[in-house]
Amino acid sequence: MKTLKPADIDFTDSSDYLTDEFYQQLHLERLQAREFGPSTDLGIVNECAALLAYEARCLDQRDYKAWLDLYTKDAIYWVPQDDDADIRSYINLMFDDRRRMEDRVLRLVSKFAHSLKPDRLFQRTVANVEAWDMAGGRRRALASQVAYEYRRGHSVEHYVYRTDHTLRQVEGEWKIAVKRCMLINMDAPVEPPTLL
Amino acid sequence: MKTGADYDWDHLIQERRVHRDVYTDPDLFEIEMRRIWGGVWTYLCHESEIPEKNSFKRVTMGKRDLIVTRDKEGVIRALYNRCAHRASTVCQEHSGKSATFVCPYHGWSYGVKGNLIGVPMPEGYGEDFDKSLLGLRQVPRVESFKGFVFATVNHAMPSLIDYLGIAGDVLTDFINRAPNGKLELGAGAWRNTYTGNWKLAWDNAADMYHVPFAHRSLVEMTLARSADKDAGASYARKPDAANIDSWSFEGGHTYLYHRPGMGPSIFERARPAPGTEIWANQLRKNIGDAEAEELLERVPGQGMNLNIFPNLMILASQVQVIDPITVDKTQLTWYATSLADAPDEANVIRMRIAEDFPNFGEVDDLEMFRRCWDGLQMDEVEWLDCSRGAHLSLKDTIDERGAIKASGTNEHTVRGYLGAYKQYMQQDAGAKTAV
Repeated sequence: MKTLKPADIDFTDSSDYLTDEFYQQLHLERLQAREFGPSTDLGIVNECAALLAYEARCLDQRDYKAWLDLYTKDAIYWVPQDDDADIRSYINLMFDDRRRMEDRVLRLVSKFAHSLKPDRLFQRTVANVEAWDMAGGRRRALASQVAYEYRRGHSVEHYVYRTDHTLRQVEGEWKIAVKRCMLINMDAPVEPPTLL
Repeated sequence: MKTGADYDWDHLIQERRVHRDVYTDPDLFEIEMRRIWGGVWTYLCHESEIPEKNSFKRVTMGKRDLIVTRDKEGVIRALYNRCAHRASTVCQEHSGKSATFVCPYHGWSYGVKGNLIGVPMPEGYGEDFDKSLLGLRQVPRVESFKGFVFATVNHAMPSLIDYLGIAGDVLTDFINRAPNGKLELGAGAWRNTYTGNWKLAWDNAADMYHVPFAHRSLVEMTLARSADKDAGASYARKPDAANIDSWSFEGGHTYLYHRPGMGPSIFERARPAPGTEIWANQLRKNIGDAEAEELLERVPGQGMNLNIFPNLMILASQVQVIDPITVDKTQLTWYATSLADAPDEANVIRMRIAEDFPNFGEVDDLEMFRRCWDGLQMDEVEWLDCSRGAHLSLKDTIDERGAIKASGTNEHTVRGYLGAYKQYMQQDAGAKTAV
């Protein structure tokens, strides 16, 4: 694990992009993903699979600075509790803008996050990657993931979920604008996952 | 099977300490599932979760799997989810709307009043087949307090309002923070499980002592972000100096009020949530600054923990419910609440703020419960201490309503509920509880 201090994070002070239009766009894109046919451009699929595998490795290695760097400045990290709900009036298991993602990372690297002691070890698998180029220079990637979390003295917890990434180019590099993780048991009681 | 009379309660629960068996004994847990869950008024659900005729919600009351229904007259019932024929459950959904529950096994169908509507191939039964005796069993006493639905199988319990006592007044204050008192559930919930006895969560709910330690990662996270380098310090690091009070009420209910320690504005005090600024500004634009500020103060909830024994905990804006699964496994459900009569902007902010504590605070509480459970496995070490503040004279701490009031970290809350618990567990098993 790379040591990360609060001073290493370039803090985002405001949350100025979560407008009503933004929420509506999130909702439309969520519905859109249900209508996708097969992906046919293997070049795009491979590029997205590499990015998803790298993101998984950042999380497995707890390199949270590298993980944050994969996201745009106006990103959303999202784990719904009900994938049909209008989240303007409904809670999510996790719903982070860039600022809250940074807060989440800050807590994870705090020496006093008891739920992470002894250190949690992570291993995740990314499979069934499909990807498409979208209008407006965006990309979408769907995948199936399993994340395992282990702490000494505890059993291995596992989380099974689909992911839906929306990617956008920032200064020539693909960044994650939205990541939505749909747990297969999002409506059931779980031991809370660290990060999916 | 053991009963409450098989235990020496004055040994297990003493003035300043409690025996580990109260947490770990599986036989004692089975007694709790009758004497406590359903033995006293137990929270089932909120009326807003079953808003219309034929709405239903499935809940548990100890080991009872219940379907809470609303009929066309508006009467709310709690039906055992158990077919009178071969005992199969008749409802598999968490919630929904249905005029009938049809057993999948042999097709017996029941109405929302629990009545047996019909059985397939009735010619196979004789003339003495009496459908009126073969409905779904129901919990005999179901009462609502301002939308909060409770039930008990115990005919000897006082009315719900008497059982709640002062806790009912505090619950009313909480409800009345919603504009026009219109508070609704149905905005989703977090569901967590932990390894450990249910009382570990109950104890924690009225414990201000753990905050600086168990939640240190959250305090550090808050300080790192805040321009005010003292943000939360007096509140979270030295709760005794922050004007936070705790109460023990009759019946086992407890209450923490931390609002006075939170500064002039709860809204400003809340950690920044996604989009807060945008939606607050929109609200100010729509309804004017003065009205918006007044409403925004109601959005994060109240600086309080109200714990209604044994399973309903109100904290900030959330309604938390304890479901014991086994002696060593507990489910916690955190229902988000919305302000039904407030503009949408207020609820968008409320939802995002509500996501904060389960993610950044509760995770460490769950870890503490697990560790307590590990420690409790060593049976040679028998006692848990709950003496903090016990040296103080109780006479000095009775408030004007007759409830015990003390500093937020005083463990009179633990001693108080254990006193009530001890009485409930010693109730005469035969006479007082009948179904």
